[in-house]
Amino acid sequence: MPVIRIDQREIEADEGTTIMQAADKLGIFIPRYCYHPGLSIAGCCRICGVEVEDSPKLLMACATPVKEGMVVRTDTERVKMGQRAVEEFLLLNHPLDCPVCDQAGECVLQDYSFTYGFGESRFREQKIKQRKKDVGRDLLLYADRCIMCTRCVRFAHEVSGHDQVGVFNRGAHTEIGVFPGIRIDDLLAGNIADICPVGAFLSKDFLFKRRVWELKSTKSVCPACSVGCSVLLDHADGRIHRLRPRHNPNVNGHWMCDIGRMDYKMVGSADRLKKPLARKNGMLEEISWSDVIAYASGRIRQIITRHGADALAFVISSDATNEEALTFAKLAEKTGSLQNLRLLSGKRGERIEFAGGFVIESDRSPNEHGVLDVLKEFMPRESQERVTDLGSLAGKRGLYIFCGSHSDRGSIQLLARAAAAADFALVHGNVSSPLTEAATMVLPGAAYAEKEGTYTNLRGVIQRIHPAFDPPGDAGHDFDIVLQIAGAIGNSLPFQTVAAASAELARRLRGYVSMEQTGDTGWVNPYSRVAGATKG
Amino acid sequence: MNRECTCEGKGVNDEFTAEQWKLVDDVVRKYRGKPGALIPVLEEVQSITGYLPESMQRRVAKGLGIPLSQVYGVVTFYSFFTMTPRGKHQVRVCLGTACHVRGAKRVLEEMERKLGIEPGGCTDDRQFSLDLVRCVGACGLGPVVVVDEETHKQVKVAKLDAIVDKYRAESPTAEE
Amino acid sequence: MDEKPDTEGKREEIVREAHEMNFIDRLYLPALLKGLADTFRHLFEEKFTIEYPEQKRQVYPRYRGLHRLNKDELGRVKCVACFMCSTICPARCIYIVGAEAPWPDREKYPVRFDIDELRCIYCGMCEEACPVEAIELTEIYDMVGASRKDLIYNKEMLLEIYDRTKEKGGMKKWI
Repeated sequence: MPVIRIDQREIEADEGTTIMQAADKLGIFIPRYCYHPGLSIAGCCRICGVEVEDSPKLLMACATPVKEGMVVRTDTERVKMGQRAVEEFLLLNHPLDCPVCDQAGECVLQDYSFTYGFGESRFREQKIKQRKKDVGRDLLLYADRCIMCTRCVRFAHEVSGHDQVGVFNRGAHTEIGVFPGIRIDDLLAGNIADICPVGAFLSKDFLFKRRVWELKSTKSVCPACSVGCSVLLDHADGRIHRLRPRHNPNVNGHWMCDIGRMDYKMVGSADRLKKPLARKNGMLEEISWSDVIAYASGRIRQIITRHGADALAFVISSDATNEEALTFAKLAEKTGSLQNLRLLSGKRGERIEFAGGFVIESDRSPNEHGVLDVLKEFMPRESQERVTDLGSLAGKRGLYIFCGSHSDRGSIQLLARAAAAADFALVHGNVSSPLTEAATMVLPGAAYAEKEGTYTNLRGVIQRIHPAFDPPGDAGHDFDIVLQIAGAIGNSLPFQTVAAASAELARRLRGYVSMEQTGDTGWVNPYSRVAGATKG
Repeated sequence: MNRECTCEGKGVNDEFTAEQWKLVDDVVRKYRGKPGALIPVLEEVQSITGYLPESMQRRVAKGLGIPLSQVYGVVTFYSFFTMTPRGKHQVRVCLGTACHVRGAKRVLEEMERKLGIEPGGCTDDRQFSLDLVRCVGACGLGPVVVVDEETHKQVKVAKLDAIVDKYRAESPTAEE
Repeated sequence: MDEKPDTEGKREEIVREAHEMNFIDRLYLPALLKGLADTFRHLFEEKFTIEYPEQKRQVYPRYRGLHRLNKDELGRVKCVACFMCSTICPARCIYIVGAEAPWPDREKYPVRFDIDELRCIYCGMCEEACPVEAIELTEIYDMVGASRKDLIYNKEMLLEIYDRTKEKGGMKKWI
């Protein structure tokens, strides 16, 4: 492997890597616009020029492969002059509308102008101005802000494969655009706004909602399909304002799809359950938490004593975290109704694969894999094959349903009928649905952005989610709710915190680790039922 | 890969004859699968159709299996390719430095008024299209107006009528 | 011990300095008359007080009072909702909701612009931060409200203040 020197520091770089990658490894930052680790190398922005011994000109660090004995300098006056010149050229036609530009605050051009730029312009002519264009379902194009890094063009060609974006015209009039009549409407389009280093491509959904410096980011996992892309929830004042992909080579690489991007709307939707409800004279009415727990546990105990534990069924949706599934299964175990433990499957959709290998799975819920792992660990072998058979619950006297917001509609209808027919149906969920309408009592739970725990994706990667803010209104944390119900029935569980449940999970399930051990990129379960196929 | 070509047929108007479409398809077929074929294909297609409207670019992109955005990029990059129809006679007014100081600007304005079009445009009867050039290398003769292959020297506003009429007369189909 | 300041001695000195009151002093009359003489002398001097609120004091040109939201030549709010003022505000008393502007030549504008005038510390950072000179502090210092809520000025109220104070021209007193 070639040994090179960057700013008098030696590094053994991998064969075929570039100066920029070697510098990144050393922690020496070289500015970049067109370089993106998830895309091919273009070398067109010219900001990453570095001085290499024996080379007459500055070489582009992003496009120059390392060579044995290379001596690179990134801090000389020539390099700085190069950066200043590039900055000045980029700003020739760039409008100074940072005050109204959504990118301000996370704009690479803005940052580099501060760090590397001249600080003033010598350009006295008219700037080229362009109106914004509506180029897609969620994309606006402000072509005059573009710096021609062509990240979007490469993305559309290499990752989404839809090739809608191109470079048109010539010279000073060069612009990024789409062919007349073509729209950037594929399901990866949102990434284009993310990778745009300036405010040329902006998301319509996020447009003018918030300034980016007001947002807090919480690491989470997208619940919209069983790929479970690593994401950042950008939120402020208890509301999510946008989702961004978080780089995870084990799961999603650099990208995420627009289905997941828009899924956050459920968290702040008006359909959220905010208060516990109980049926009084046929109508669901608000009730206090202490009362609802007391009544519900009383009814469950009553059913067990009158009709036996087999009259009681427990259903948990694939929205639940592994830890919630564990407490739920423990509760079923304590009441002796393990044979009636069921999974409420997630929504199904079309499996979509993109040119660059990115996949949107057909299972559009976050944790079917993990919940099944937990349920199968607890359920008696002979009833395991019925784990998804919700039809077999018809005629049960008592139901406790842990419902999710990504559950299959047909199954919800089926369960709603069973709930309406049962003596007592306790429904625990975060949004109102036909199922909550049919319930005897409704417990308002948290959405994924409000709770802590782990999800196991389709390929067995266990990832941690973090709470961004508290659930709305009186809604509680699902984990605590199940614990309380269990305690009120008289079957206290051996753990009281999510962390303890997670540790218990790691002890019981093969290949599982506790949530502290998952790290930011998740833990790949080596014993996963689906071979751990991963991609960068 | 050409999933975006959903508007196939939408741009296909009666602008071109069936024979022209067939010739275009033949050219595309000839080059299909060959790397770097786009520019020669566009050249040949433009020689058949005279210009490259959106419908023609869609046809070429689909035929060659090249992204439409790429075709559009090449067409807009080279000034040789045009997306507007060209007239039978191409009028080029030189705006080079020498011509400019000798009043080429006034000549151009008068030409625009006379033909009723702006530079880059084409008259409705498809007789004339007007373009600007920066220098034709005949600075001693300025202001210069080049019509088709013929160079007119020391053009004055008063001489324009004669020049335009000369070419209009050559094409008896012209209405006005 | 030696270096310790002799505080005790000093206090004694102070006490000793106090005037030993004699009989005349104890009548208090001379002092009273002296005081009254002072008062009466001021009656004939130029008056320092003013008849507020009928009369108002002329404030200094750099006085920082109630905010106003400026309008552009077409009478539209000048603010572009860039949130610079609310970001810089040390009292966090500015609340803005931005939206797409309904005018073709403008990108963004505030649909809501609230300033809590009770929370505000009148530091003037907002007008300094404003890139379009849309927010300014006027010379108005008398704000009245029956409740705290009344002193949360919204966009319409702040624009109205502009109408009231615009004849005074720009408030950029330090340029």
